[in-house]
Amino acid sequence: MRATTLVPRKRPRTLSGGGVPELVLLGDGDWIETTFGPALLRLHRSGEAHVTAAVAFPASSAASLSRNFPRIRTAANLDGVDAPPDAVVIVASALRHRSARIAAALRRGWHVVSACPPAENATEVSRLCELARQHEVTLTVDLPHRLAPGARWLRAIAGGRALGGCIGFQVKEGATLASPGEIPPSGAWIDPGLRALDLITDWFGPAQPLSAADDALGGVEAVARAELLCGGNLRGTLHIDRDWKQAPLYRVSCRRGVASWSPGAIGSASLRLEATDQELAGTLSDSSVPSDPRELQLRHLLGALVRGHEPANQATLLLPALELADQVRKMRTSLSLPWLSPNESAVASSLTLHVRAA
Amino acid sequence: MKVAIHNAAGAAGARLVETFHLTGTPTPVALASDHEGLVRAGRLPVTLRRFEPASISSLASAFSGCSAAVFIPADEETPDEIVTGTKIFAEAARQARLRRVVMVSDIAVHPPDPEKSPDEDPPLPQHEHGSRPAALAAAESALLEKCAGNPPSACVLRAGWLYGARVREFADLAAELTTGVTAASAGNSPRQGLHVDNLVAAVRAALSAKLGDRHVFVVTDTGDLTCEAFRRAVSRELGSLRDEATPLPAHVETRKNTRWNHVPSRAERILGYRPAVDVNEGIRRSCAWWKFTRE
Repeated sequence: MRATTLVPRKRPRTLSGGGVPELVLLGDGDWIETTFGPALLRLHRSGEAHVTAAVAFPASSAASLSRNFPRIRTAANLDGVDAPPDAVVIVASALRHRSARIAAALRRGWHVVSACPPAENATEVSRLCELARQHEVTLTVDLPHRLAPGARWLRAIAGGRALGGCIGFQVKEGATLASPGEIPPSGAWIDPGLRALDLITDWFGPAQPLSAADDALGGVEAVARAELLCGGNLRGTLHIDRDWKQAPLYRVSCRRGVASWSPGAIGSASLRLEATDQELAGTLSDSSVPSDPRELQLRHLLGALVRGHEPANQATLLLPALELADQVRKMRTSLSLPWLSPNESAVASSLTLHVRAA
Repeated sequence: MKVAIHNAAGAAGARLVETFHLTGTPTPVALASDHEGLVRAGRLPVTLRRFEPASISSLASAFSGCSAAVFIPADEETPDEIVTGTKIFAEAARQARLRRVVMVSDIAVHPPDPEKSPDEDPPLPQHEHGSRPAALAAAESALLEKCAGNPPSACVLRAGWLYGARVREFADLAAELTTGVTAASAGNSPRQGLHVDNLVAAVRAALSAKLGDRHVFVVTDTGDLTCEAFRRAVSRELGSLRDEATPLPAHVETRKNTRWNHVPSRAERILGYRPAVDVNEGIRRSCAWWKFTRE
């Protein structure tokens, strides 16, 4: 029998003195403005948080930001920021730098909301989670898809409560990307792959890839496909296409019917019961929470910091999806691209073999 | 030779980057005005650059290290954007000291005329103000005027109705044919299409040919295929041939009534252009791509 050493889990600190939390913005200013901008403005104007600093912002973004937050300070790097220990930093740096920026913020005693993912692989994200624990701060990830009404609806159905046990699922993604823009772009397994894998592992539990393939030819993949096995006997497919974008679709087949969700500005859903050949279609909404998922995420985090709760969207939640993404990238094969000429196909094959062997 | 592909996000731009890289020459540099526009080119280990569309200096900087550039107005651009974008492109190319620029225009600048082939020599006929053909004609003129007598030398390719991988109009047609909506007869007018791989071949030729005093070239696939025959060939290749007749969608209807009949003799003679695929192979590759997106 092995002895187990129990390490007391450190809880994140609460905000000292009941002060208003300071928000620091770091990285891709355009992305932060587009995604978190309206939420930041509402929180700032209502006095629930103060946006105080922008770090490593391009000049155009900083100018735009200063119109909404006149007292905001700008800095080239985190060393130029004098925020208090309990400040919250939204990190939207390019993926190749993101992990280092997050680590620097955590070491200063700042809570972090990271663009998804905090780092490229599960090992590095685990390291960051441990760093956050050591410094008694929180590391959360931007996962707005989890808060969508459709995602919560399908989660309940995947649990078997409404339509009986699940017998399969089908996911199509690729029309919308969620990450800050960068050159080269992150691959399809990362964006939007992690979003899909996160929902799949959240709904169905641990998954393993049965097969995986993509179209990378020495660069990063735009098309990716996988067959997954969840819980030992539930099979499903994941198709990601950023090259020829199609409407995203999440479909769960159960013993008593099929439920589908099409994410988008207005998430539509449909339900077909096994006993009928008719389909019920409509729009899912939840009037009890803010419609802006970024605002909801920030409110969850700020509320947790004030009350000493565990915040939602902690980075540890993303680990199963990151581990799955690591697995599919290790086992992936090359998709055949049938519109290429025979000569191009031959070069593509050798290129892919060479790169993957390396 | 390094060649900047101005709109690497589009169907033609993406295929240019793909083919140039996989055949080893010329070396493509993929340009796009936003990060998402570089996703297609990002599959390959090629140079990726982002530029500000309204900034001449930003585009000139993106041309750095290149000796030529290909300009392809995007489908979604407004007529005003096409003309403005061309002027910015031409000035940026001049500032970057490029030697050759190739603009991919559209055979639509020639109005349908059943009696004769499109005439590549000016003047072009008048188009409705604010229309895409009018904008393309104005953009061609702006580019040729800017480059007249000074480097870079400009070459304009008036491409036939583009079809092939990632071409929206072809995807729309394939979607209609595969979802059971079968169009009515598309008519017996000649269908002046151009497979995207043939456009790549024409651009490749235009990048290095000696132009002399000829700068405008019409490039189409062979003109003996009617619109109806093309539609039926696509339908057969997709395995969805049906005989029921329903109305054609508007954009196909426009094409149906368009009569262009031109053999790309000038492009062959001066540019040394040779088609990469015949119509049958073009349709096969196009449908193979469509099926790939549906798998």
